[in-house]
Amino acid sequence: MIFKPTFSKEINYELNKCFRCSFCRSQCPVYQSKLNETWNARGRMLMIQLLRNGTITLDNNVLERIYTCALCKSCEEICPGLVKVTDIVRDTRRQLAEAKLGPLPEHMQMFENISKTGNVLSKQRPPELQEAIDNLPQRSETIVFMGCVAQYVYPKQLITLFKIMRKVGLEFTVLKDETCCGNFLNELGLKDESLKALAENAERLRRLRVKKIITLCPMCYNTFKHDLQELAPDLKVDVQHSTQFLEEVLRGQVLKPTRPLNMKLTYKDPCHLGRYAKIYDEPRNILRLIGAETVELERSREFSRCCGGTIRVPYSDLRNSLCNRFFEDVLKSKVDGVVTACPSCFHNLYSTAPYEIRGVFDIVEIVGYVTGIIDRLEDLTGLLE
Amino acid sequence: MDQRYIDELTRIVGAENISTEILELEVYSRDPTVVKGKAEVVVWPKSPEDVAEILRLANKIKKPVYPRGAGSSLCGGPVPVKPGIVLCMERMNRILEIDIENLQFLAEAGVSIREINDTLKPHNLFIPPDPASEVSCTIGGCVANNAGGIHAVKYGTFRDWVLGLEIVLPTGEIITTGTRTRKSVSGYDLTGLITGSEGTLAVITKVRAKLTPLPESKMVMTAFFNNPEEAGKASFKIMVGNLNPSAIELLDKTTMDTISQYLRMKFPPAGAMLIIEFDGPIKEVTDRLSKAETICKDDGAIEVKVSESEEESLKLWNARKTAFQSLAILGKASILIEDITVPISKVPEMLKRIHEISERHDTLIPTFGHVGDGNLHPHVLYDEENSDEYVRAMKATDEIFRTAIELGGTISGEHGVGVLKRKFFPLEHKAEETMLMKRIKSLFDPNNILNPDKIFPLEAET
Repeated sequence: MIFKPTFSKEINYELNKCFRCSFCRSQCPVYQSKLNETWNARGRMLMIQLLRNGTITLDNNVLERIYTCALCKSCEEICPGLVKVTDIVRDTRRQLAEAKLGPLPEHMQMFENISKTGNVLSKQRPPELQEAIDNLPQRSETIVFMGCVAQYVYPKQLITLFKIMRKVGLEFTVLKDETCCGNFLNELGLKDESLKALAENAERLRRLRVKKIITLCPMCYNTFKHDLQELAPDLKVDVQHSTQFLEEVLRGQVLKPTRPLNMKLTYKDPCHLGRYAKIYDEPRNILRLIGAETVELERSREFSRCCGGTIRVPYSDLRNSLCNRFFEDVLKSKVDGVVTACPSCFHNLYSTAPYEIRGVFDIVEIVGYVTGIIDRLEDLTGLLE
Repeated sequence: MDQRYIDELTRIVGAENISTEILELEVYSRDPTVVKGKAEVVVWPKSPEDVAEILRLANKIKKPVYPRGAGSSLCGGPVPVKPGIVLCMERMNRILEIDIENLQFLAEAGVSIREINDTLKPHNLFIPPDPASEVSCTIGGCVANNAGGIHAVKYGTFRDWVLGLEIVLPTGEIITTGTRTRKSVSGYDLTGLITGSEGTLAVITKVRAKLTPLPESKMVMTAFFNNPEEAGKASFKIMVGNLNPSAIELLDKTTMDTISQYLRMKFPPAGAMLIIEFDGPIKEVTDRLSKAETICKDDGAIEVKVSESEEESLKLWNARKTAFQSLAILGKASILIEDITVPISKVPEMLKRIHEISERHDTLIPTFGHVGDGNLHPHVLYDEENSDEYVRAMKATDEIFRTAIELGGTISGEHGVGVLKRKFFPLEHKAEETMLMKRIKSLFDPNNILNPDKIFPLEAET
């Protein structure tokens, strides 16, 4: 297939900056799973240069390398050339989409789900969440942007957040007709579609005169924190990730833990919360403030391992491999469980967790438990049998 | 390559460890340099027996084999310059033994230096040579190229740490060289011969090397000078002043400027800077640091600053690591990275001469490097499409090599000769010496199948 991407001056500059030094071998989780340079950031950069020059043509191998980049930014943390690898991959995907050569059929299914049902999973809200939403006011200056994964798969994370917010006396609601924020579409190169999805939500925010958004999902967080400001600069909205909110109320002692956790945990930095949003300290502070015993993994913060969140569909085997590598570190650290602050990370880790640990937990539910909002440990979503 | 040989290679390594896909062939035909190769097949052996079988086959059909570690060479070392087999060691990546009692370890060739040191850290041990690419470069590649790095000034290069090797000869024999002992004079030093042979004599499959305790403390200072020559003089005085620094790096003005733009860092206005590190017991480190400070000030340093925190030191080392990349700001498409090394007393003279060469040929030559051990990295910048500029750049490069040799130096301190420096090889080595080396090569590799056309100049180049 003929596909010769052309890039803006800025992207070309970034692409030409890669001098194949090899540092990214030490970070790229997909390379470390495959041990083949064509799956590494350096290999991908050379591959895109060769596509641009017409030296190679598009085939399934090339497509696979383009869509298996987890966009986790691990390589960017180590790159001495500060090459914006993820921007280059995203722009290549955008051009593939424009040429109708991408994304993959499985991705298009997700796009259709969003178009038809407003959510990537094409699911109905679970009744307990719907009931909680029905009890929220029609309008408020503060909203919780629920996100797809928590809303349709792990509702307890949201219901717990609602209860915590109520407990600290914060008035809030949700966009009752919330649809996908569009972040995932942008990651797939469907830039226009992603902007359209965001614009729909922007309209809702404008209509309800929302002043503050709290998100559970780090991808939603980045969309509203950055893309929304670009799309609708007139909307002056304060955007907070749930970990920032929880840290604030725990630090101010508006919310106080009432019982110990009695589990040793390690915190898994989600790529989109850590490397993208630079929110590293707040989740750790939360765990400290609730008195949880924690252990840092050998690779954490900027160098934390990716769970394969964005490539799970259709590359679930690769996702499994990435998660297994992560759990090797976890088992070495001898903790009882993993806590994270991203519904997608939670999903990937929970789906692949080894039975040697007690569970994978969402940080909101952990706070819910120590404050008595969640009754028993057994009620935590990620507890393994 | 004939399909039956591909089939044979597939039988040896298994279908998941071989590729003839165009994408793999292209990616594995390159390293960081401009040298381009022509891989016909990429194979990933999993054991020395795999390597031996591959080499036996290649030797039989006289097909070139190009061993490759992390592919971070700066001289075209692993590039398959002739159509042939790329032999990737990245899947032989286990640390086999950490022998704390005897302060040594045994690892397969494909393990990275960082991984080895991460594994050793809980034991408070490390292997000190750390090329800039230590996060990714492999122990096999480092030994094959006798790599150095910023700490070589105190700790030496890999040659000083390797005890023994498991190697596979181009004719397929698996041989163990060296010993587990700290010293040995028992037969020819084959370990020493293979170390730095750039993958032309044998394929390294395992490395046994020494370890040493991690230093108790580290401190870093920066000193700013009017010009590189003055910085070079101060560096020389520190070296001969029995201060035993663990690193002395020089950055010239152009590099300081590009780094400060690139990383938005601020340096005081100066013509050159030194980054100096001491490690060891804290009292000794602070004492030496203050002596180095006095030397720098006496030698005309405009400003001297001791890093106040580990974070600040780390920032400086990151800046140093980014030096090469930051040159992109100068907007020249092509860069020749040199790694000439001169006797330490000649460093100021070499720096002065590089400056003169740069002016004479109106060519940008930002220079930085391991000034403490005399290893400099002048970077000759040019635009390939500008033929006049290209000619001037080549003339400047030639003069840099000639000057280094004239001052008693070498064309390569730590990167190796590979492809890029082979035409300068005769400047340093007389015909008789080269002939002896070539005889050694043919003794190991009678059919010249292992990493051919590296180190020695091609006929057309002489």
